[in-house]
Amino acid sequence: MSVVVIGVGNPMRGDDAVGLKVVEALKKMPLPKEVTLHTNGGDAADLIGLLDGARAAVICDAVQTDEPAGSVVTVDCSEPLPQQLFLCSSHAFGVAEGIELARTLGQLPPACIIVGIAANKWAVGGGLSQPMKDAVPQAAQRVAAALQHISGVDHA
Amino acid sequence: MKTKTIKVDYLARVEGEGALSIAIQDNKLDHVHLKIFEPPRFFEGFMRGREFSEAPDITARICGICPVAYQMSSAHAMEAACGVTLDGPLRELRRLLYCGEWIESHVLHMYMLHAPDFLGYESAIHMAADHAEVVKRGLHMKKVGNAIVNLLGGREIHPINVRLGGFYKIPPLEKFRELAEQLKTVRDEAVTTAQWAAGLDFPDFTQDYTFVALSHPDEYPFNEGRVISSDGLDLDVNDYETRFKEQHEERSTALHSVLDNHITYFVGPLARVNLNYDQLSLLTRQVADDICWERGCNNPFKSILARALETIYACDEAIRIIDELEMPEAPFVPVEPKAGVGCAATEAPRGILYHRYTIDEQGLIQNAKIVPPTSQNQRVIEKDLYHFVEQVMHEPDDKIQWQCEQAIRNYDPCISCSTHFLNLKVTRS
Repeated sequence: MSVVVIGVGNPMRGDDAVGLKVVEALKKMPLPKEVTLHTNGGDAADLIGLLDGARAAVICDAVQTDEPAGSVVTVDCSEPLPQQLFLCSSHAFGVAEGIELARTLGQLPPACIIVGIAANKWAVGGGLSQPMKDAVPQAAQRVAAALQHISGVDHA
Repeated sequence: MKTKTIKVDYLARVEGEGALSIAIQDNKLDHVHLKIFEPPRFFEGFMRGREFSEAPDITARICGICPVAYQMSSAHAMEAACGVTLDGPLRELRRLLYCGEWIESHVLHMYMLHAPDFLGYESAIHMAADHAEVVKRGLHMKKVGNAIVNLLGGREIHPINVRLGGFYKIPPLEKFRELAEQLKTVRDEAVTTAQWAAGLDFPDFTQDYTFVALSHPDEYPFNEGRVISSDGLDLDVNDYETRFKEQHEERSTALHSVLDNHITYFVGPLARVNLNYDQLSLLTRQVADDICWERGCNNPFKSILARALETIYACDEAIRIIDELEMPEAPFVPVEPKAGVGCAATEAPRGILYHRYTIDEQGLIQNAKIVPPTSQNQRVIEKDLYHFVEQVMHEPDDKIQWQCEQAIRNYDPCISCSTHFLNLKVTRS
């Protein structure tokens, strides 16, 4: 069974693209062999498909919090997620709903965490804001550390 | 005089933001208004001055659910302006791309948005606890619809591979063949979906509708055809604006479209199936017979069945296209700008999507007009609600609210498209 990293985002919606950028950064880093990297445009149905069958998952996405822009937060999905954490998709069926649906269907990996990056610019067509650009290496390191932890726990 | 108000700030499981207001006075229905408050999106305005070749990519951004429809209508309108017609494999591949969008959009709506209404659940997540296999089936079907759009469109959301004259790149034939195998499974699941949906409990509600859809002599309509109606309209797309007008309603930032200045009409899967039944594939018609589909069905709640039938058709058609596919000599045919006007209408999952562009000799867009399906269905949604609320006024407010939301979702309204929509308010006085 694999470990999946899923970067979620829309490359054309400003800071929302940060999850995709973190996956790009991870491609250049040494990762455990069992890890596969994926991107997702925000389609929850596809997200559930990516989670299905994995033994662990790390999801990387822009989040809305009161923290300063660029702050990296980790959310353990072992408990139901606060719905307000994510900017909903346009059809009100976004990442949080996807994870909860996967949980209900028994398709949520036993270990699943979200590495979220606090964002505040969602303009159409805009690139990442500077705080988000600066946060990408830190978020990638956080994901890599989580992956090492997952592997370490398994090997222990 | 007694006043009672039911208010729901946001209607879930519809695309975009808007509100529904229902006023009941002395047990008599006073009015039903859809108030759309998503900001107008001004796409038509900011297309002016852009290159004609940019229209498919820009308009695809209007909607994350039906970007292919926007690409198809804009590309066909521009090609019409420039005197280019696609045929052969490129035309077939555009149909295949549309099959993918119909499958993903119809399945999302049937399973994730509308089924919870029929089965009495707040959401698909709640429904999944009791109907896990049903939800898993929907997710699997949608995945294959996405795979078509991903393969031919370059990515699932806001595809990027459509250009005037065809596509930027055509994937290798073996990739299509792999898809065909998956589509055969999804076609079986689509048949199961229709049989499952036929067992749902449908409110006893029928109306006398004017259905409008495209019609083509040789095929079920996707990308081209004449505009026909259940009342005998038979119109060339170039004459669309002579009969269909958009009207501004103060309460809404979306325009309301009417036929012949006053006729409320109905577009989408139910209209298409009613007007084009004989063009459906043999398997689709056999399943329609099996589930006792009523020709000329005028119960809007049965739109979910029309979507299920169209999903079977889309799978069948996609498999046919792939089986018969010959790779085109080039991924596109050249389209040179030519000053003039081009119009096109295609069948988005939610109904007719009309585009008109005026371009100059350099290919710069001088004017653009986009009439999405939801703005065409707004009046019929209001009318349905008016008559439906009359039938259920004696019910408790929470039940009225539930059923009104279900009635709105019959149309799978895409409010962000139509404004380029919903909270619910019932006032009893």
